[in-house]
Formats: sequence, C-alpha cells, structure tokens
Amino acid sequence: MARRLRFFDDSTDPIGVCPASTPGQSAPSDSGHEDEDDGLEEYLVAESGIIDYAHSGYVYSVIADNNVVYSSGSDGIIKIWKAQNGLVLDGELERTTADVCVHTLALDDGLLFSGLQSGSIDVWDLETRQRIRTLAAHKANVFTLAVVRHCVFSASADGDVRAWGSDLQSLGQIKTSGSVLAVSAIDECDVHLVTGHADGSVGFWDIAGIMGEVKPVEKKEGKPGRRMMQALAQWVRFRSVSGVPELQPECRRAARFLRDLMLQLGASDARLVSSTPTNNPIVYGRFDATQGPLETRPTVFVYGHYDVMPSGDEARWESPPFEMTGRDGYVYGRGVSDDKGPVLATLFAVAELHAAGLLDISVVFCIEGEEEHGSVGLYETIAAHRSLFGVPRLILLSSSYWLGESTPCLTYGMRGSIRATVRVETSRNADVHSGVWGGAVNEPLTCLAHILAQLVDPSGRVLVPGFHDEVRPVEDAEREAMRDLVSFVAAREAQAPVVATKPAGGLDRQLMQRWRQPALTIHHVDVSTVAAPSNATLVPAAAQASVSVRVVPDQSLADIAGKLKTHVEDIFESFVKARPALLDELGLKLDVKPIANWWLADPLAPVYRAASRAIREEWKMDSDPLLIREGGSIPAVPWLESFFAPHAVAVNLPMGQSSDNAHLDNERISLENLLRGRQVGKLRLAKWYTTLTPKEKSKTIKEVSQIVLARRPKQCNFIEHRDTKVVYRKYASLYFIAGIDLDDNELLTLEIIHRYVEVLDRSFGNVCELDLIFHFQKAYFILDEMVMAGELQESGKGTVTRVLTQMDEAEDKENAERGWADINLEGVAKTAMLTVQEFKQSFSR
Amino acid sequence: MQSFNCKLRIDLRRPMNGDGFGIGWYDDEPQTPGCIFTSTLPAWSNLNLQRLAEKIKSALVFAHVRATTGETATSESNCHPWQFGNLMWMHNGNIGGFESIKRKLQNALSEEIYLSIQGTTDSEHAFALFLNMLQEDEPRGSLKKRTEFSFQELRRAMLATIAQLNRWLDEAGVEETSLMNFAVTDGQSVVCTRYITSYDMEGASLYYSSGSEFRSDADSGQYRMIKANKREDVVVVASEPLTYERSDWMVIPTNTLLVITPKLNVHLYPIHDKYWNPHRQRAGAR
Repeated sequence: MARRLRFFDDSTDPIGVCPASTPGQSAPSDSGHEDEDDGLEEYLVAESGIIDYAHSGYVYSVIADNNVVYSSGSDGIIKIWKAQNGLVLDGELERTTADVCVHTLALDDGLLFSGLQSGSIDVWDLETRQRIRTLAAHKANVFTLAVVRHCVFSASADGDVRAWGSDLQSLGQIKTSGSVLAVSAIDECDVHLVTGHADGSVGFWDIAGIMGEVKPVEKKEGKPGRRMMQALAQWVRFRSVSGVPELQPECRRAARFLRDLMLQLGASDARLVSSTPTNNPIVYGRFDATQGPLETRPTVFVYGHYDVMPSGDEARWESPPFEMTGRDGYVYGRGVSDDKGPVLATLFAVAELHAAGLLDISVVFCIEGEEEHGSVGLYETIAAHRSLFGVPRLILLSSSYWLGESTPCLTYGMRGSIRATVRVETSRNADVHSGVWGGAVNEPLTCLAHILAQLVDPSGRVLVPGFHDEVRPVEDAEREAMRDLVSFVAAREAQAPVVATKPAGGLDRQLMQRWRQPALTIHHVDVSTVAAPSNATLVPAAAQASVSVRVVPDQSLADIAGKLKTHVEDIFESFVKARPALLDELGLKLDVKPIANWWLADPLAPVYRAASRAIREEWKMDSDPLLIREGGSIPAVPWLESFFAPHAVAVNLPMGQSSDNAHLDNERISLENLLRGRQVGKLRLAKWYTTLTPKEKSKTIKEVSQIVLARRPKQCNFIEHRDTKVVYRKYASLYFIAGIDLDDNELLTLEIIHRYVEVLDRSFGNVCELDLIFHFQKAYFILDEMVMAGELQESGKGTVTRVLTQMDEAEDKENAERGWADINLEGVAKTAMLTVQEFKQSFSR
Repeated sequence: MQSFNCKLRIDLRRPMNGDGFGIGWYDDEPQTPGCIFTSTLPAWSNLNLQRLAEKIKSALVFAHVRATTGETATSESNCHPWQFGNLMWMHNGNIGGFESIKRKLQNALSEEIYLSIQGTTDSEHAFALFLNMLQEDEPRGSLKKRTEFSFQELRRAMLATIAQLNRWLDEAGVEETSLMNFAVTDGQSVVCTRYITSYDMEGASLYYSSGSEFRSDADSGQYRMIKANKREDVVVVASEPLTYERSDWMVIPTNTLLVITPKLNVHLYPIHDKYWNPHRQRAGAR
C-alpha cells in the first residue's frame, strides 16, 4: 500500500534530528535551506537529548539554577530536574486544581513563583516543596514574572504589572497599554523595569516610586530582625482570642499565618493538628538537620501559644491593641509579650540556625491556641500525634516574666492550681422577703459565708485539714539563696515594681509566699436573685463562690482537691445539722477542678547550666541570670514533662519584663538597651598584636569600622589611618579588617585575609557570620595557626586544615563524654536569646 | 478540501471522502446537547451545508467527511458524528475484523446504550462501548442526563475503550490492522486519539494547531493561526492541515491521546500498551 507520510512534502524539515550525535555537537547539515550559509555551523539536537512528553502540554517556561532545572507548562505541573548527564526528573510540584496552566516561573531565595492562567501566583517553598501562598494577583493570565532585589514583578494578559515585596505584600501596580508578554528588571544603581507587549512595543519604567525604600538587600545581618518584626506586626493584627466563638476564624487565620511562616523559614514540616475539631488547632512545625528515624532523634520541644487575652477596655490602650506600635523602646500590642513575641523570637532563632546549617538536632514547635482558655484539647491532640514530636529531651518555653526590668532570668518552678465553685441553694427556687420569712427559711448565703469563713484564717493559713502536710519544708540553703536574690535585685533593680513598692515584711518573704507557699483565694461571691442584687430585704434562693488554690511541691493535686472537697462538705453537713428542720432544704453543689500541677525543675541540671551560660554570654552579664520561680501556672508544662518522661526537662526562658502588662491593657515588650555598638557594626572577632589600653582599643575599633563601612564597593581596599595602614576585604556582609605597619605589604595582607577566609570556609563548609558567632574559639584558633605576632607563619591551607581536623576530633571526643545536651542546647538557648536582642534592636532601626 | 482532495489517505486509490458528511456543534447555551446535521451527499455538493456554515456560530464544532469501507450502508444514520446526551463522537479509520467482535461488544452493553445504536457501523459501536466504559462509575440510566464530564473521565473511558477493543480483537484472532482515530466531546472538553494496532506503522494522520486567533489574511484570503501570546483561544484538530502554513501545524504522534480542556489547554499523553513504540514517531514526525 503506497503511503504518503508528509503533508508538506514540498519543503524540508527545519528542525533536524541527528540520531547519532551528542547534544551540542555540530554535524554537517544535509538540509537544503536556501538562506543557509555554508560557513555557519548548525547545531542539531540529538535524539537522546529530547525528553518526550516531559509535560503533557506545551512547555511555557524553563528556568535553571545551580544544576536544577524547573519547567512548567499547560498541564499545570511544575517539574524539577537535576542536571546530571542530561536531565533527571527529581520531583513535581502539583496543584490540586486541574486545568490551570503555568505560564511562567521565577526563582528567588529558595522560593519559586509560578504565574498561572487563572491570574494567581503560587509561591512554593523549594526546601519543603510545598505551596506556601497563593497571591490573587491578576484578573487575567500571568504571562511573565521577574525578580529584582527580592521584589517580584508580575505581568498579565490584560496589561497589568504588579509589584510584590519580599513579604509578598503588594507594593503597587502599573497599568500598561496592552497584554504584557515579557517583563525584565534592570538593576543598575536605580531599578528599571522593561516590559514587552503583544503589539510589538517595549516599555521602560522608572519604578523608584514602587520600590520605595526597598534597597539592595546585601546586608543579611539586618534581615532576620526586620523580617521578624514585620512578621510580628502582621501576626499581632489577628485578634486570636481563644474561647470566643466569633473570633475562632481569627484564631485559625493566626494559626495558618504561623504555619506559612514556618514553611517560609524552611521548616521541614509545618501543619495544623487537632483531634478536637471545635478547638483551635495546634501549629506544629519541625526543623531538622539530623538524619535517622524521628523516634530516636534527640529533639527540642518548643511550647508556646498564639492565642491572646481579649483587649479589655480599648479606651485604656494608648495605641490600638491589635496594631503593633513602637514607643520609647517598647513595642505595644496584645500578644507581643504573651506569647506571640517570644514565640517568633524562638522560631526565627531556630530558623536562623537551620538556614546556617548549624542545627544538628531536631526542633519541634507546638504552638497551641487555647492556652488562655485552659489548654482545652491540647493533651488529646499531642497524645494522638505523639509520633510527630519524637523524643523531646528539652521542653523550651518562653512564657513568663523577669523579676525586674533589666536582669535576664530563668524560671525553674511554677505553682499548680485548682479551681472550685461552691454553690449553695435551697429547694424553694425563689427569693423570699426577710420580713415575712426571715428565720423560717434556709439562707444559702449565710451557709456559704459560714463555709468560706472556714477556708483561710486571718494569717493566711489554709484551714483545710492536712493541707500543709505535704508542703516541702523550706531549707536553709533556699532561704539563703532567696536572700541573695533579693539583695541582688534590690541593688540592681531599684526601678522594678517588685522592689519599688517596698513590700512590708520584706521582698524575700513576699517572694517566698508567691513562689514557695500554697495559697487559697476566694475570688468572688455571687447571689442569684430574681430582683436586683442590691435589694436589701430579700433572702436569695442560691449563693455561689469561686475559689482557687495554688499548690506547691510536694502537694498532690488530687489529694488537695479531695481534701478541699471533704472539708467543704463537712462544714456544710454540720451547718445543715445545726439548723432545725425548716420548710425547705439546703443543697450543696461543689465542683473542684484540678487545673495544673506544680512544676519544679532542677536548676543545677545541665540544660539549666547551659542556658545560664548562654544568657550570660549573650547579655554580657557579670553574673549568672537570676533563677526564679513563678506564682502562676502553665498547665501544659508539668503535663508535657510527665508525658515525655523520663527524658524531658522543661526550661522557661522568660523574655518579658515585669512591667509588661500581659493580660492587661497596654501590653508591651521592651526593646531597650543592647543598642550600643550597633551603629559601628558588630565586632565578631578581634586580635591585637601590640599592647593597647581597652580605651584605645575601642576607639580604634570604632574609628576603623566607621571608615570602612562608609566606603563604597569600588573604592580602594587600603586606607591610611593615623600611623597604620588599614587593609580590608568584604565577603557578603562580613568585613575582614587588618591594621598593618606602614612598611608592611598591603597586597600580601589582602592575600592573608583571603587565605584566612578560605580556611574558615573549608572548615565550616561555606562560612557565615553565625559560624563566627558560635565558633569564635575556632576562628581564633585558625588565626593563631596562620599568624603569630603579626607575621604570617603558615601559608599552607592544607596544613592548617589538617591541624584543625585533629583539634575537632579531640573536641568531639570530649563533647561525647560531656553529653550532647550540654553543647547543643547551649546553641539553641543562645540563639533564642540572641534573637531576642536582634528583635529588640531591629525595631529601633 | 479533505472531502475531494485529501493528501494523507492511507488508501490512495480514491483521494475522496464522498459518502456523506456530518457536522455537530454546540450553541451558547451551556450544558445542553449539541446539534447534528448529517447528509449522504458529498460535502462539496451540499448547498444546505454552505448556507448553514455561513450563519451558525459555535465555540465547538465537530465535522466529518465519510468514505465507507464498503461493508456498511451509505445512510444518514451511518454518518458521523453521533450523539448521546451531551456527548458527541466521531471516528476516522476502521476497526479491522469488526464482524468477529460485534456480537461480543453488543452483549457487553447496558440496555440503554444498546438501544441507542441507530446505524450499523463499527464507529458507532465503538461509541457505544465508550459510553459503556463511561457508565461504569455511574448509577444506571443517569448517563444521558449528565451534562458535563471531566476531561480526566473522558480520557479514562477512551483508553479503556481502546484497551477493550484490543482485548476482543486479540481473542478473536484478528490480524488485520485497526485505525482508531476517535474524537469525543461533552461540549466542554475534547478527547482525540491517533491510534493504530501496529508496532511500527503510522496511524491515520492527525494534526493540531492552537493560538489566539484563526483568521483569514486580508490580502490573500489564506487562513493563519495568530499567536499573540501564551494563551490558547483557538484549537483546531484535523486529519490534515487546513492550510499550507507549515509552522502552524503540529503532528500528533501515533498512539497518542490529545485532550483539549475546558480552559483550552492542550495535553498530549502517550498511550502505553503493547503497540507503544517510542522510536516510531521520530521517523514519521513532522
């Protein structure tokens, strides 16, 4: 059967296929194009270089970054290919909604943006390969995207060009004449945007107005803090008040925001988990760097909460409670101190470690949404998702306050709590007039008063029999520690409310009572009458009181609850017995609820010592942070410790000051102090080869850094400064500066700096600022290996690296003997604190 | 043009498709059955066709010119396309040795689908089998009332139809080659195949073209596919290119399934079965 296979048999195929050759290799052309110049090489694509059906539809976009190729097309799938002997498929990013083609792709800083037929832009986190955001960007097809200085420009079929900031918020838009097919940015001094249109025209746009204050983001140093403050400001805006049904969507939005943020920050997993759907979900996030099965990985468990107390009377706030506002070195807003600020500080700290590749343990976040509402559903949810949390060794939280205003503290104990309602009612169910019935009916309020009167004596001692039996006796050492603490606080913290109020009987007694002794409180008494409560002639039909008990070690929650119950019942019985039978009967309704167990950690445990050291170092303190306890309760802490027993130890790193007004109006957190030295850049390492006084040293540092930081990139790297020469070199955001004698060789010095950085790079594997912060001793060691008394001693990088490896091995061995907790947790705690600083500093910028 | 001067007919003795024709189209009313006009006259000599073509506007048109394989009557009920509820179907090619599986196919059909067959062709029976495959996930009887189907559903049923035909043909020991270029639509999505039951031969030709507008040039009167941007507003699938603008037309490789989604995205999926030959398409591609 004769067949013709070609419809266009009168012309030849413009696309050659050369079965034998390899990609890129040229082969003589056998096609007979008239316009072909024989002198020109023609490149043919080898058959092996074609991936058939890579996408089932048209391929609209292919971009590459570091041997990874991303492609997208009309099938709505983004494919990730590894370039190794051709392209090997390494994964797909797929939307759940079918039939939306992906016109364009753009990459920025671990994020992949994809422009869709539907007009939306998807934002993918390449680390987790999850879609973290969808921007409802345009009304028509998003044909093209461009990224400049972490801003994304998108353009669509209807001619709309929009700009998005690094926080994915809209920066502004440009209306162009017609369908935009291509957009590109020129980043030379000023940023310009170029648009290519369907009608063949090309537009140039001055976008300084849109970019506004967006400057080249070179200084990575400032970035985490800025991002964190932005995130906190956004997060505070959610009115995530728990226990209020109409605000539940706000709570969920706050939860989703946190989850998205975790994913953006590189969490390996982040999701909302809940096993009690009516309650606010827990935001779960995991950052891990270590390999191996999750169950056996040492894990740090970070506990916090995203729900907040209601704002109360908004008129009493100086700024809107749900708008974060800065004043006098503080940020104000509901939740900034309890607990959104500390949660973000910890999150950014961990994310920073993770991003720098320094996180060698897993950190899981469990940020609940019902803390202010009795943590309902928390225990069930954690128990149902136990496998998500691995084996926590450390439970880290930051949910209490310093004792004073300026001295960092570590909280190691909290009291427990029991709540009770006592209700006395009569069978008559109605109020009666005392003039008619007085003396002839039972009086619930009289009975209740009788009960309440027998709960606490005037000295504050609780009258429940056996109540004080199990209270751990206060030892001399404890008294002494308390006296030391009080004298320290009195000396250092004269401004703190706790000192300034000059408590009668002494601060130590007050703190003993608050932290160390149990207490019983009657909160309020309520009578239920049909008439106004102020009617002074009625005998109410029922009366009710709320009572709470704070328990301390070693009181048992169940035991105390039982004793309280029995005590109240006994008083009630005796009251009823003492009265002759009347026409109605008295009844008692007693509800005793154990809310939280007390919690007491061993402040001498390694994790506490590690945290202490870290805080001391980061806050440049001349003494250890104060070890304090709290009178309040966080039910989750003792519960988590016992749930994850026997390994878990809880550490509470308070970040708020005593005057933060958590739960009250004008909640705030301090941004105070720690600002010194910021303007001149942070000094990470310094080595002096000639003797100078501290004053001279700091003067030199200040002067030299100011001079160097002020220099523009194209200026010379050598400066004469007084009687020395300064040689500097910049690596990303880090400056390496050397001061040398006038007769020393500058070029050689530049080379020494570079060699030093190369060795640093080799030993840290891509060195970054954090490496120098956390491993400064190693950085010094390398410097000492290479330079001695200002002279280059060892120029061989290999030799230095070898010596270093030996050192590391010796150190590892030592560390292994000391136990990992001592080392790694120190890093986490340190960074948590560091980030608080970062957080505080950044706001003042 | 294909009716009287087709260039890619496998049987070249007769470059003509004159045994009737059919046009099916959907109007603006969403999710309502389309309309079909068939005639046993050759398409080029039907005056009514020209009149209708001038006036009818539609977003989705199916058109077919027929050349009988000799065994079935030239009657209006044997003209493509056929209709069932919102669905429309046509076929270019023939199922070799169809007589030996016809009874088996009919027995497999549900009552409703069996009774809907009006003609005698292999093509219409293949449609019935497709409907039966589509109905498998459906409660009985409701298929005719359904107004839309996802393209994934249509694709699944199409692949199942081809697989089932192949199974029966193998069981019956048929050696003759079958050409199964099917096309089906529900008025929203379109699914077409270019398929042959052979490892090395090319299937009956099938081309597609897409762009923003299929427009006639003011000077020459020649139609061109305009590509103004990355958006597809027009998709044309045809057994032979409708114009001589070679860059406008792309070959659908043999044994490939093409989908046009409701948003006019075009997808091509290889049909992986024993006739799948990844190297075949190179030779005859373009």
